Amino acid sequence: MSLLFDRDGELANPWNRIEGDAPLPDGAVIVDLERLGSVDHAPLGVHIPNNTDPALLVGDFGRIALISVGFPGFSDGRGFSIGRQLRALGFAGRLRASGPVIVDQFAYLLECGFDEVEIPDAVAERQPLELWRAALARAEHAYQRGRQGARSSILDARRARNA
Amino acid sequence: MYRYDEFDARFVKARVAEFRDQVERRLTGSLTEDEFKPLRLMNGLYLQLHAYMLRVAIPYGTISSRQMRMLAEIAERWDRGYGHFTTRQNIQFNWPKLRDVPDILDALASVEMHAIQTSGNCIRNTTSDPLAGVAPDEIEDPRVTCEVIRQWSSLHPEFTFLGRKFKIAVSAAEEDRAAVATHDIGLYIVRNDAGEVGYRVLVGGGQGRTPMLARELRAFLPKADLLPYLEAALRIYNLHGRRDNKFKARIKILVHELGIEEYRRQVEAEFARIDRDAIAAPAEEVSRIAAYFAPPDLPVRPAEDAAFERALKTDPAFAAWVAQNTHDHRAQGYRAVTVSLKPVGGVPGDATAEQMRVLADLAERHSASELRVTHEQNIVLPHVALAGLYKVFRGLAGAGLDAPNRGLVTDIIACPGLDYCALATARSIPVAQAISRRFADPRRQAEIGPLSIKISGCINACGHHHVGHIGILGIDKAGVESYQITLGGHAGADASLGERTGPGFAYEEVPGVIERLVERYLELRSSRRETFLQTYRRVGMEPFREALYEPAL
Amino acid sequence: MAKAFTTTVFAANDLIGGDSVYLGADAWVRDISMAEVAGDPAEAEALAARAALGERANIVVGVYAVDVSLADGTPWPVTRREQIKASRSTTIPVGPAARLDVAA
Repeated sequence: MSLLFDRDGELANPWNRIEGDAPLPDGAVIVDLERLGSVDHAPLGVHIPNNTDPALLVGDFGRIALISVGFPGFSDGRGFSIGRQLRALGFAGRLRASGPVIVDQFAYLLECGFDEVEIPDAVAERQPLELWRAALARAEHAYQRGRQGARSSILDARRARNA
Repeated sequence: MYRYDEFDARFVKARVAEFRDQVERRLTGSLTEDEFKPLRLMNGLYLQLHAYMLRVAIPYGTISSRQMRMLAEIAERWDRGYGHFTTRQNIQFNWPKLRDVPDILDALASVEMHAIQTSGNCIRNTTSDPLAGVAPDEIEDPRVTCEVIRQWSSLHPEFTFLGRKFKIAVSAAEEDRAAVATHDIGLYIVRNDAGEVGYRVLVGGGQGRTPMLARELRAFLPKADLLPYLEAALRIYNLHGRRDNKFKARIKILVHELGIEEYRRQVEAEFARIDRDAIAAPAEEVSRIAAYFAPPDLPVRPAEDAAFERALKTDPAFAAWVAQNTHDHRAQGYRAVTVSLKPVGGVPGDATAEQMRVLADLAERHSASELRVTHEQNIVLPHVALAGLYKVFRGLAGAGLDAPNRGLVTDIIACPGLDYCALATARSIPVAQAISRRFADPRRQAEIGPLSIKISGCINACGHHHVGHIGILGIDKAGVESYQITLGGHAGADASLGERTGPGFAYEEVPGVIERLVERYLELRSSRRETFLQTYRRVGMEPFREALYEPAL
Repeated sequence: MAKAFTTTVFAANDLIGGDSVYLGADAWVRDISMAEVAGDPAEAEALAARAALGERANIVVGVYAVDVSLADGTPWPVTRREQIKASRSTTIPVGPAARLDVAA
């Protein structure tokens, strides 16, 4: 099992993650990338490992409501760039980071375009939701401009100060 | 120099609070060591052989008197009374306790310093020319670019969990004093045919077990495109750099495996897609930063100073020091002074708290309260008037900081080696000390001329042995330290990697080996003006190899 | 070919202080001569299991086995690296001590 949340708190997970070729139930499903081409279903989500070229998905953006990006370990940061690229390519649906990421990465994930985070229970046990909230509250300012920044941009703040 | 505004100050404070919380979480077990390690590393904290080690950033090597005094205070209050200046313009404290580190970071924040990203798989301290803003041969002060990069790279949401560390260096001068070609990304500030200032971008340099010199990625990048272009270059690396093998994870391997053309194609494609306006530093922000690097308000001085001339004549030690350890300044009547942290028999790069205070005081009185740290592990007082040079010299001499050996055989770079480092396979510091004692005679040093000896205590090459005129690499051979010698490395604009002489030597043999190489050079050189490196490049390896492996009967 | 067994002790670093420490009879000790010595693989396995507890309890980090030789029953590391670590200092005077050394 896992814990799913976004910046506002825990989320109910309506999405059914379908492994391999298992039959699709009614309702929202997340399928593997390999299966995406042969599936006609709604609402449809896709899970991609972090060595996937996001450009491969562009043609499917119209029918995908959610993309789940795998984070095999918290120190493997490829998913951050994939999030940025998906947003740059125009994906406007829900973006999920899925894997054993840590609270100290919450703000970065949001800034790279992710909406929600799904962590395994083993991580959630040591890092309950309060810690994620606290980390986000503490992360005040960033020197960069995030897409939907958890941290506010120092560049913009300076511009406002000097205006 | 740059000063924090309220946002910089809050940013660094928030980071300290975050680390204090992370330490708490580690001690309660909420964070495992595996999770904590990358977090502490990104705050400069290693666990070494004997203790934790804290590496504090000295951004692009520029530091004020006030900051230097704080380093002295930290050394005394939380460490063992000294610090170690590194080859990347940082300082390391070798004995802090984990529970004290948040307090140390708070103390640093109080003087606008931090340890953010001095380690870990992220963008490290951007290094630069220690004579930035001083040297007559520079196009503009490279530290403006460095500070723009420092801010952009600090806790970058996308590039804080890279496959491996990432080092950037910037030089704006004709003479490369920043070893640009040995960095993951190297930037030369250049002028194009139209007279515009921009960047020549190099990529894929690095030392370690697979040394490579950086290749040209872009001949000319307009200044405004710097950050978007860096984002594109870093993104391709983050996505495609190898993560299966730590030793193949640096960008140099990616560039090597893809080929520079393919890597360039991917970067340019990414760059074309990037929303440049969202990423580039706004022009007014760059001007805001640039204003801090306006030349200091130095009093106008005559080109000559009578007392200085007299001191040169009456004190030969002073004259030797001036000749070797001072550099032209673009302002008339001023010199930039290199303070050698390489006294004969000393530990390269070490300074005691007392010495740091002497440096801080001298800088305050004679160098616009500013100092620099060099990648050769020395200190520079950048703005000393001729009229003040003798006082500076006397002040340095009183603290054992007057070695007149900048760039000479005893100006040795050495990594901490097996005496401190958890990764090391052999000792470095005692080897440097032994060589330094062997060549203690200043007249002999002057006779030998420019010669850089660089010593690494393991294959990771923190002592930069690949680019030493003489490089020494200590390895472990069945439990015994063995030292391999390389010749012909160089870190300047005409950079080259050293070539191995042959089988290694025992710990005790190294000073004798270096002496044989130096003696052979003195026999071979075409004139007193031909340096060791020039002679090596002219005659090649063979005569030196003979000197080492076929001693005359 | 399996490596022949060497007598070992277990080393780590203290989590809070960072000091090098060794697994002793009933606690982590700073002096290697007080370390518990494993004379055979079974003893080493038992010590490793105890050492791992110290890691799990967040007392120490980075547990590993160190080959030692015994002189009158007192362990001392075989390799240069571990000898330096066990001596709890560098092989050279450093810091203010180094300056005293130069002056002397």
